[in-house]
Amino acid sequence: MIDGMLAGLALVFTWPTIAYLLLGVFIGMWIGAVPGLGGVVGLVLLLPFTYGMDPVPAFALLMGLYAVTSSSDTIAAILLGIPGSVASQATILDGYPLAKKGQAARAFGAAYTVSAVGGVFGAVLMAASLPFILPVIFAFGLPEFLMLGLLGLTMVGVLSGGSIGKGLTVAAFGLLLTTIGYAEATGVPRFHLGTEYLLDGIPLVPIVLGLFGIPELLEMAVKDTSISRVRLSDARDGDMLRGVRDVVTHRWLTLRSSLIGTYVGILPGLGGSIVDWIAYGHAVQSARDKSKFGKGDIRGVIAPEAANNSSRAGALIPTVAFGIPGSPGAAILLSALVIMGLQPGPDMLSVNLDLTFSMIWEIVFANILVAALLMLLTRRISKIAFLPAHSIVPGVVVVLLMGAWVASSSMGDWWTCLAMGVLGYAMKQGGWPRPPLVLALVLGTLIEYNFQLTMQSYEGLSWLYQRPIVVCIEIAIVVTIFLAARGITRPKSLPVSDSGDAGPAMSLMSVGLAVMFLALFMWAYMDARTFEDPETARFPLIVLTAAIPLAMFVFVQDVRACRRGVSALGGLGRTLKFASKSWDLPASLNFVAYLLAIILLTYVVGQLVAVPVVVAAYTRRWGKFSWSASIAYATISFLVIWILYTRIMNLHLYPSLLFG
Amino acid sequence: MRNSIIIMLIIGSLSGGQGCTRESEDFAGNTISVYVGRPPGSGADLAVRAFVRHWQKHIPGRPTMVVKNVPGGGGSRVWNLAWDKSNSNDLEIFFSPVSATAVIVRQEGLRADLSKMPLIGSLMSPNMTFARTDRLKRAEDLPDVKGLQFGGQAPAHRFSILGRLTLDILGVEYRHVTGFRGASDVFNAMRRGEVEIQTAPLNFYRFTVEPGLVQSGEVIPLWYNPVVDENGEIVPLDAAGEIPSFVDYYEAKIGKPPSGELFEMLLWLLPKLNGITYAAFLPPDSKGQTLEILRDSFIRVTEDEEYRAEEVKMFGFNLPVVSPGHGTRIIEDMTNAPEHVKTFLNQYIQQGR
Repeated sequence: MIDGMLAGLALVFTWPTIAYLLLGVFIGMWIGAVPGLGGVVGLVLLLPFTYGMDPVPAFALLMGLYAVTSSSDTIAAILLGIPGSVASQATILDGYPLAKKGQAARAFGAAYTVSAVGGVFGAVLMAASLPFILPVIFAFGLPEFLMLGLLGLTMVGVLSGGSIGKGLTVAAFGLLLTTIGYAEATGVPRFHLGTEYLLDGIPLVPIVLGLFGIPELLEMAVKDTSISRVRLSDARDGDMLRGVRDVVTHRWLTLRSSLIGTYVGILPGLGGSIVDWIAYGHAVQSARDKSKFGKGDIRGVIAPEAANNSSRAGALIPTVAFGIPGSPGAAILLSALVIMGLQPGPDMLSVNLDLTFSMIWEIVFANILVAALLMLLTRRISKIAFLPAHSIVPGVVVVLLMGAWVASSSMGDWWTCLAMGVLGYAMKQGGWPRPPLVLALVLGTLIEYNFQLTMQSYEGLSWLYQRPIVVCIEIAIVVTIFLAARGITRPKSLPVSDSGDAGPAMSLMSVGLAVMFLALFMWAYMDARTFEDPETARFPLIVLTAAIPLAMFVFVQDVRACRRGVSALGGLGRTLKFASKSWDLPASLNFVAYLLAIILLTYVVGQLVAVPVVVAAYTRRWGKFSWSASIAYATISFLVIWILYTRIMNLHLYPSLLFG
Repeated sequence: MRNSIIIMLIIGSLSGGQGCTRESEDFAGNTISVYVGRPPGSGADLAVRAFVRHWQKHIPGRPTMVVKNVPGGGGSRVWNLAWDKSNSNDLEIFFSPVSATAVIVRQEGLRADLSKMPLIGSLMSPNMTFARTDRLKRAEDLPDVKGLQFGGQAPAHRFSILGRLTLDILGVEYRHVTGFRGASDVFNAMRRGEVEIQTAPLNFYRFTVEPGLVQSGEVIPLWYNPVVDENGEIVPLDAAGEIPSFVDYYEAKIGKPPSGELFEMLLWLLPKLNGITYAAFLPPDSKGQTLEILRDSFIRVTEDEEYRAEEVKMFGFNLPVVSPGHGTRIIEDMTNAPEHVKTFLNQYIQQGR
């Protein structure tokens, strides 16, 4: 084993391997920073260049990229409240509020430090775990995955802020969204409204970008404020070294989160997408003072960032050693292995042990290297948080929309993004928590998939009490629900997530959302009752049976609160006026109109024209830029789409009416 | 005024750039877009990208070829996109897995009529069935072991249909565990003992199953699904090596060649389900001359030693090529499948749920 480790280390430091590693790190750093791209896209772009290369330098290039995208995706998560990739979804919960407080540099300092620590820790732990990892992987069968999914869902309590009823309703909505499209067990399409786009289900990326990104951009544009609500001169507490010191202070949380990331990462099909949520949930549950979570608690950045980087090593070992890819990125690495003439399997732990260790070392060095590089850039990057709104909003809109487009290169991605943006804004104004929706989206398919297969594969329900790991997870679920239920009776001890202004406007919006969810659930219930196959209908009906009473409960509560607010303001008319002012309705609609203009114009002239034209109009009309500045901005938008998305990434753009 | 002119110039350059057509047989300086209906990084995406990398050098003028992903609609979106193309400039190729069951039963969402789109070429991906040995000690014990769990993907997926059909022809009593996302997910469940039989691509067996579990005696190969040629005759598959074809397995076990309604259905379905696994089409109104050039270049890629070596690395063997004529007939047969076949297939998929 030691010989293998040293031989692997020596391989990394041979020429040109080290150069390829640096190149991979550099490319990965930039790809990870663009929302919607991430490791998988980067690997697909680089893979053709590795054909014909020797395996060691080829894997240095791929591993360099793969290991670091989950570090640089933090930039968008913290600065813009937009998850750069699925791995950084949980980071936005506290990262973005920190940026709003003018502490982006502190959040970056902590995130990059724990990314490096997590990456190194994960790699070392994986190396040490090699002899007994296979039994761990195969101890987790379909029932265990189902239970892990349910355990993850109990974190809704943690992510619901002060309103667990709303959190659960939103989670039910998220679960329902995952049932759109072909049911995996039967191949029968559900809730697709006759559209081709919905047949494969709604992709996660446009939902998340819309739900979190658009409301923040809208607020910035409408209020004409920078990301940071604190002036640069007043942001004294937010330096990068403070973030590094935070990691030292919370060292045990860092290590526990890295441990979670590594071992969740090895579980095929589970790893990357939920590991940050599990670590975040752990950070909240294990904290004595939960009150600052969701408002800018540095522990909410440390836990997910440590976990998502350590999971990369976790996913690697089962891929190379057993041919079991733990994530889409790992599946591409597996293909690369095969293309290079290497056979995944026991040989990778004996004959080619040096190569396996070289990959682990590459993860270690890539993580350290990217953390150092990003820290060097942090001072400059953090200043973006203090730029005026209109100078960054159009640019971010372009990146956000194109990030959503990457999902399936369909106009449906943009409509989804816009719809979720409007919903996200309404939820923010109505005090509805948004994170449970994303958590449910991530876990919904996992839960239904393993539920259906468990019910088919295991006769009866004996698996519920005969499998030790299942029983352990059940106990954890019960304890978590107990703690959450205790929290309901003591709402002040729970974290309050980002929500809009309190008062009548909020309760008015909240009632509207409750009505919408209730109507949606009832329609879905009626529709699900018409499905011919019981297996097709089973999961949506289970979800809806719980969702409808929940939405009713929230509706009744909200109506009461709303009535109190209306009478306090002296009637519905005055309340609506107050609400319209509170929501900045005309300006908000104006912002949505710009997004709508991009989408509608794209049908006619395509993205390459529509986006720059609307960017020019926005900066000129709303931003009061000079003509030359507006055109320069529009030209840059055009070049970004043309060079990055069509020339480098070869994305299929919409075939417009005019230009085909 | 000056700014308006700049904007007009940009728009003008876009319209000129995107709408131009090619006028000669030489593709020099052109960019051909190759659309694949699967997400980046998927097996089909990587297979198409590997093919395309070699394809461009066999097309006159060595055009640039770029792969674009248009996943969605259960794989049918890419075909709908091709179907909707009008005034095609012959610079767009649609190269993706074809779901024969979707075409035969007219799956919801599939608007394209593949029989009206010119086929450039297609590759076949053979598949096979294997089983765990804890209950099935020897391959020949199969029909006598009751209650085995067959793990499959969606009920309309070709591996589910082929696997179930062969088991039904043999008269095996089994339970169908359906809805796995891919061959590797079924295999993981097989490793854990949650399913016991699986039908999967031959290359998956060679790379993932054979090195670990076959060598350790935990899994045994049963048969490969035979290849049916242009004349409807079963032909041996060299890539299968020592693994018997289903017909040979049946004969060895039962003592006579397989026959009956289910076997007839299998023979009808085999070339459709396996024959055009990866197929490249042009949009419906493409020019005949371009089609011939692309067909010729497609065949030459499959004869290119460099590509063949890479294919062996990727799949463990060279994927059999289906001639454009044979492929076109297969697609016409699928599109105009007899009513009794459609009825059977619909019912069989329904039973598999």
